[in-house]
Amino acid sequence: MKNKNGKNRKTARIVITGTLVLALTFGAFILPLRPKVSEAEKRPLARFPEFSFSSLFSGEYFSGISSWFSDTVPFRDSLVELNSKIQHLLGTATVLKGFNEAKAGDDIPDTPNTAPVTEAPGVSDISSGTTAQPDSSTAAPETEPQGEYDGLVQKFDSILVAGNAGYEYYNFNQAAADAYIAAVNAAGNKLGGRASVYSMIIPTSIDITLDARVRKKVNVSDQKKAIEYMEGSMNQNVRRVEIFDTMKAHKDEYIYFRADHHWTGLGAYYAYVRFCEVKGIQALPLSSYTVRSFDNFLGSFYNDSGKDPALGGTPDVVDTYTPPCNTKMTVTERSGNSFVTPMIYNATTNKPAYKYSAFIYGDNPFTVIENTDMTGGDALILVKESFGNAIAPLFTYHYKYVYVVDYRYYTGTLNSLVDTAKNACGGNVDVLYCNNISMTRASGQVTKLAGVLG
Amino acid sequence: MVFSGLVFLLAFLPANLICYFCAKTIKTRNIILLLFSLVFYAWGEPVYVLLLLAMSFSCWFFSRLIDNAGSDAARKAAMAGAAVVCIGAIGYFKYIGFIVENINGLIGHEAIPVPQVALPIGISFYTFQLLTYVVDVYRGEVPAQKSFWKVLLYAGLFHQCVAGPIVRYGDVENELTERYSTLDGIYNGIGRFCFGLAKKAVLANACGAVVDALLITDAEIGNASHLAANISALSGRSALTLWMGMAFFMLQIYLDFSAYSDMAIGMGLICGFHYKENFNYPYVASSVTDFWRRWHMSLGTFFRDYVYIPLGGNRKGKARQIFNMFVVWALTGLWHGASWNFVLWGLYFFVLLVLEKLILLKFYEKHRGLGIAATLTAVYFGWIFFKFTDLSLVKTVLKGMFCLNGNSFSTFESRSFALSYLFFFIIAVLACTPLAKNIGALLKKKSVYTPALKTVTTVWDAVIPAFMFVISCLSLVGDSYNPFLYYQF
Repeated sequence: MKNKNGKNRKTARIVITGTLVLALTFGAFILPLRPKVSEAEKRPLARFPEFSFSSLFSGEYFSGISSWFSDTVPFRDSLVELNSKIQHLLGTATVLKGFNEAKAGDDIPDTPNTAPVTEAPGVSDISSGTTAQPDSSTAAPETEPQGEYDGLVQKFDSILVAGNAGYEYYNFNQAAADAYIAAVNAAGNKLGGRASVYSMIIPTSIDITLDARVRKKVNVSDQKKAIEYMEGSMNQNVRRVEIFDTMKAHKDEYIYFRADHHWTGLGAYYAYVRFCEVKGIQALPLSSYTVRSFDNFLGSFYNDSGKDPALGGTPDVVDTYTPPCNTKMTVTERSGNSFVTPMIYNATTNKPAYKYSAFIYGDNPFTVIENTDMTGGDALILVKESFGNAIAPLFTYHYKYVYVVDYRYYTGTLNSLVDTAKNACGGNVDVLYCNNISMTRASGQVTKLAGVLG
Repeated sequence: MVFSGLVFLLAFLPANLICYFCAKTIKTRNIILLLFSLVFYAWGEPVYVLLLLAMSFSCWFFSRLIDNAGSDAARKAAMAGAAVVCIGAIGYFKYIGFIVENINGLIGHEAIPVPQVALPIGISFYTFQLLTYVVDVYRGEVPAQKSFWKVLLYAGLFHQCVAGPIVRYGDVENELTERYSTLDGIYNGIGRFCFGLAKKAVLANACGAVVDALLITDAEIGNASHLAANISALSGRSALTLWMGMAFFMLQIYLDFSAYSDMAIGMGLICGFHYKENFNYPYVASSVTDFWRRWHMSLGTFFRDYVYIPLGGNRKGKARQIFNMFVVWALTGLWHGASWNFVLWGLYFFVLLVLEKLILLKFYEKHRGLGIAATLTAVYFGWIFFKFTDLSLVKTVLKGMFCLNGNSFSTFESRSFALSYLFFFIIAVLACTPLAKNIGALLKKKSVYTPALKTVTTVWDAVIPAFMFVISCLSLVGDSYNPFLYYQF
């Protein structure tokens, strides 16, 4: 009897494991089920390699088959997600791509950079009377919560997750910052006679909304100081739109996404108000906008953290603000294709990772938004990366044309666009350099920014 | 192909086993194993599979010569021929670059261009197997195999060809011609294979990702032109980060390598082969001497039987014994890689082993706990030499561990990392101990008298390998980090 039991037990293991392995094997060979792209990772998956004798002899052919086989497993995205849930349970998801011990970056100079194209940096702004000093009316006194931070703090590559929100590390990079200053100053000098050049450097959430008790443990650069250095180094042809204190004053509001590195439509609104102050025009009150919301947004922090459940549990909502005017938006894609599409794209059915594209149809090299209610007026050229998308719609109330230039992809030059804009609207032209602070430490992007001036 | 790849798990192995069990005779089964093994090897080395064939053929040929030799001189000549072929091949493919670099270093300029020779996968393993076979024939310990195909199967069998264990011909000689897949064998083999797979795919790979993140990747370490950047990266790490990084490396290398042996032994059992154990929980060793009886045992016995004892072992006086140990450990180090850091790593153990032999072993006998702690510490620091092929990186890491690089003891990131990985760390540590095995045995014993417990253990026993297989496959989908460390040797 005992022997027979033992035998049954052993047979059971063999039958169960054998059946399972065969079933999985069978499933893996249902070729139509194999995906060709990963929606979650936004990339095409490995393809079955093409045969050649050279790839056969070098081993690439077989290793290509191995990659194809494991990369395009049926239901791969769901399986990867399931696996990342297991990893989060085990606690092994925290370090995925690299472990960055924060370095404070370069020291931020206390005095402005007076080097390349500037005449008298740091002096007060010419026409509006705005100085480089922070606007004390909007700056809230820093009240630090007492006691220990009781949320969970995790570290993913250069992302920090505290509680249910992600934060991107920022390290000041002197060379890139100086190149940024030079690029904007050059625009001030070159376009100054024909347009008013504005600079807005957007702080990221780590220095605005992150709990102060956690923030002070993280050894990253002080964004306020970095922005003061960069804005302070702009010459008199550049008007500074300093928004750090503005954002800080609203830090308890929903001005940054939790699971994505961008600011929200509301955050962009406060920056827009600040811009209007500097320019000397009346900003629209928040209540005058039509709000459309797209929920279930799980952006870059969620994906870069390996789908951390701490972020996934509270998806973001993308609130868009449309001013009370009629607009016509023409988008030119990277392919050169041009078409007209609503300024706020209906992102309801977008994948959770793509909801931010609701603003001006996402990142495109060149987008023109025309206020069709106005017969004439001014024009704005918004020189931006993706943070600019959320603020662009807000300007359309004040300008006949808003030209949105994503300098990373735009192939034209601002130099000639200023003339085009002037001719089209018949009024004045404003050029707003609108970038988040992380961009000012990325030399490659700064080079592109400098190059777009022409 | 690697065992922990989906192509192997969901295509190659099932196909192999289906064909294998459909075949009735041992001859067909051997042919199937051989064909699959050649495909397995060619998958990674489409050209060097010819080298495997040539090496096996030479060794088979020389063993036939030894067998048929009329005189002792002829036998010796045949033996020397085999040794030249084996040592020549491994010397050329593995060490020629290293040798030339050192000659150039001695001369002081690049007199000889350094040849760039790619290391054929598993050459250190199958060459050693072939060498032991010919030596054993020469010594008359095993009869020469008449069939070339069986010698090829012995050396090239995909179970152990590329990463061990180094199977001795005598251990499988009979099983090459007569073996049975028994219920027990298949049952145990499945358990062993799935357990090893999970150890590799779930634990070792995760440890590896941590090591890459906390320290620097092997690709970076191997890139001599990045040396300055690597030194600067490592010297910026906090001490806690370095300590944790090396601790996870220590876990990774055991879990990874022993997992490979588990899988090889498991597949062997399913097919009716009985390979010897290669690891016996080395991290609970009570002395370094004990550690080396538990770590990569098939390599240890190779050097014992084919180097240490022929040199005279301990039979020619203490001084000679220490010299013999020196040779063995320098070679053991060198076997792991053509680089001085590996030699140093081997000699580091030589020094420790001599110390133990002379003084410490007696002390450890009385203080077992201290022995285990001292051994773990010694092995831990040994892995630093093993991990970093450049000695200036070893120095940077050692200094950084004691905050001598101007680095802080810990940072916000390293502390929060330590907290979030604590649970996983404990699991990985426990997986290096016989704890799970002992608990299993205890439960099985207790369940004889407790019907409820018996039901639980029976179900657990039947289901757990399948569960491990699924979990492992899951962690391999879309996973880019998946090397077998010992492939490089």
